Amino acid sequence: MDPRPNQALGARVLFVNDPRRGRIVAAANATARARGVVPAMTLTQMGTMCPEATWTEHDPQADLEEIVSLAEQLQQFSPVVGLEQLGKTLWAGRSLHQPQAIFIDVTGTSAWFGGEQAMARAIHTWCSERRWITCIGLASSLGSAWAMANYAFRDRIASAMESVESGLSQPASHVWIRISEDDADTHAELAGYPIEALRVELAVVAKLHRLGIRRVDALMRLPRASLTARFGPELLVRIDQCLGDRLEPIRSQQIELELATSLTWEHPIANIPFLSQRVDEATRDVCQRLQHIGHGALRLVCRLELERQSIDMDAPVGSRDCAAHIMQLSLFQASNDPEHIAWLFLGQLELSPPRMGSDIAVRSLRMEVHQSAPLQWRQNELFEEVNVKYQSAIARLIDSLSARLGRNQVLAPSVVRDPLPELQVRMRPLTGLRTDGRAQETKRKLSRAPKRDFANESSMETPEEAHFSRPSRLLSSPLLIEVEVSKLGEPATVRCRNDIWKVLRTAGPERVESGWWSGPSHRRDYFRIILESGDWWWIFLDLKSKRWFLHGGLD
Amino acid sequence: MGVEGIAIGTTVPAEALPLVGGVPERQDRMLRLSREIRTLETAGRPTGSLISSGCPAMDACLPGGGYALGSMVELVHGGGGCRHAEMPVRGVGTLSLAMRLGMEAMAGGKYMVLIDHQRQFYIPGVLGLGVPSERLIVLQPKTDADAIWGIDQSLRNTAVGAVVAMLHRLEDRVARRLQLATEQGGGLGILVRDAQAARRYPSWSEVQWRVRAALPVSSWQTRWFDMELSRASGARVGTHVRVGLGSRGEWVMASEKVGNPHEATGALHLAAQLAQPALRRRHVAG
Repeated sequence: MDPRPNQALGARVLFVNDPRRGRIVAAANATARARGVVPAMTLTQMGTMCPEATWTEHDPQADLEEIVSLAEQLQQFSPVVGLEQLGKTLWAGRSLHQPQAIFIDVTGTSAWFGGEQAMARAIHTWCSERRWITCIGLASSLGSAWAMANYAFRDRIASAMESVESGLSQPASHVWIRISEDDADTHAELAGYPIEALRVELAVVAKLHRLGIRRVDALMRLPRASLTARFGPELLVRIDQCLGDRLEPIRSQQIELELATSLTWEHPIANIPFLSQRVDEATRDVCQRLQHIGHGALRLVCRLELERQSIDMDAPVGSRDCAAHIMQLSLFQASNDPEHIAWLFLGQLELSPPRMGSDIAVRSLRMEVHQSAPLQWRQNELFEEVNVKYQSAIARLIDSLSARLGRNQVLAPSVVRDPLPELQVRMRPLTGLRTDGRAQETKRKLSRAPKRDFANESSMETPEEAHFSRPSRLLSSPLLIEVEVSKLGEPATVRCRNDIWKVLRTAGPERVESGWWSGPSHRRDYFRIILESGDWWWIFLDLKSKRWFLHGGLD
Repeated sequence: MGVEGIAIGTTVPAEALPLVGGVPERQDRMLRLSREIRTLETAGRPTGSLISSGCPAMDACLPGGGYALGSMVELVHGGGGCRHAEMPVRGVGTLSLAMRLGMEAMAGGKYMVLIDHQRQFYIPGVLGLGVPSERLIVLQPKTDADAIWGIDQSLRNTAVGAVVAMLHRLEDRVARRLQLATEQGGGLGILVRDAQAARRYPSWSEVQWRVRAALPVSSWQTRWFDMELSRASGARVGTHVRVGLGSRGEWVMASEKVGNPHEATGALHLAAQLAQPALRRRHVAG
């Protein structure tokens, strides 16, 4: 959800780059979906349906950090909170292969909130206050709770989301809580759900659809013995998990003791210097544990539990506690250097300190290593010691730059094949998780940057002119200029911002046309020109509008 | 167009300048003192060999025949029209020169950090110069303060051979901070600035070049630049050199050193320098 209240969001779309199909829709908000945009659609198709949609590239790391942070904060309701465990392939009904649901074990804790209903209400209220729209399912098995949360309100959620996105209603006004009282109730509830609610793969669902089986009750009528033979073993496992016949554990966010440390204080801490010392202590402790097993951390989470000092006895249970302050670190290279890690955490603490004051203080601290890798250097060549030394130093630099500036500001560039110059560059963050949020690429990402193959570039480009055929600076939005053309059709004079320059030399045109599959079509004739001032420009004639633009400079 | 330097510099014949020392002993003493000042100024810098620009003509203009380890280098756009500062892109070629110099500093497996706070650097063009992409890190800071912090941190790192940034406004303290960071890291800090900004803000760089595109242009294969050494401790300020960049980013055989036009007359350059005795003193001391 966008944090801004009472403001229309408009249609928003996230896209991913598919190697075969180009840019495809990964997720769309309700406003975009109402216009017909659906996941897996190409941006070209989307453009005809919803041209006003704003689209940005999907960042799986940002999503993961957000959901991890939310799960950490939900630990105020139960000590056992975990993200959903993904299958090997995408589940039917999902467009992204990454955790999108949170499991909370409420066994024994609901009594503290006055019952399951009251607890679900408390969770909903807490989430609504932070502008999260939540669907809550509460059942005796993880599978059925997941199915309820995901499919019980599917018919109503689209219109409600649209009204929230338009600023017409607030998240708190939509309460989606489904609680099953007993197993019979669960079975009755599940019977009406689509088979996608069982968390099965796309291929299995497609096979069932071909047989005309679309709902869980129709599936349950099939002979159980034949299911494995016809649809594979996964389907039966999922049915059993849903009905509670097979146990499914919650993989808790709480990390095992070896790679985590906790500090709790009798008197909560309310000043930053003292807190910094404690963070430093915890880091040293965690690093010592890592050193014992010969590992280095790749991802760490530091959780600062906040507590309100004044106690209002009339306030409901749970409201006395404040949300935890979460700091997350993703490292470029596995490290167990306490000074380096502490420095990164303290930098974060300095940039965004927890909201402490006379009333709120930090009660406890927990630092966990969420991902680690063995510390070892593979030496590729005999005389590579210098490079290894530099790699270690550069990893420290990348970590500190990413921690302070943000991971999306510290990038490894690569060049991809695309006719449009502005789409030829891909920037990849150098730190953080990549695809599904669990597998960290421990290889050096820098060393995997694809090299540009100039010999196989577009036909207009000759290898001899590799450098001077492309600008070194490119404008994000081309600047409109006026060009007088000679009899040969080449630029003769250029007028830009009330200055007129004579063109001394011209090279081109180089015809650039975008593919039909990659959005609105572009047809341009590019020219390299040398002005009388000695400047080298890269300009183009837009063949559709017949207007000239300055696109870059060979600076 | 073409108003580049303030034309109020006074050209004073050498014999009319006040003599620092009337006897050779005084001149020797002055020379010794200038060496000592230079030693003090460069005390924080790592010892070792120089970084060659890869271009013999350029190296010949520099003290010791190259760039000192841990030094800042400025490339100032020298040419262009009077309204060029308003243009979103220039096309003078200073960035290509900066990248070429940075590549020399990457020798031995070091990295290059490119500060792209305007999000304008076009990577295919940059890689076309021959910069190894696996050792290129691009920083896209959101604010100027972040950019300065990023440059500072990168310069301090021993694995970074060169930091290339287009920074026009550079306050005195920030420039000094960057100079100290460069000395600590031992790489090259290469700043690309426009002439107006370079005049307005003081420089702490070891070497400053003014760059103009050389005209007329005879081919697309080689790009020629007229470079004037406008600041260098221990070298003759005002030395001109013509250098060329080939289409693959290689140096093309440059012409000989043109010489110092002020050498004969001992000219005092710009009014701005005369107005800043500290900077003027640094020139003399150099």
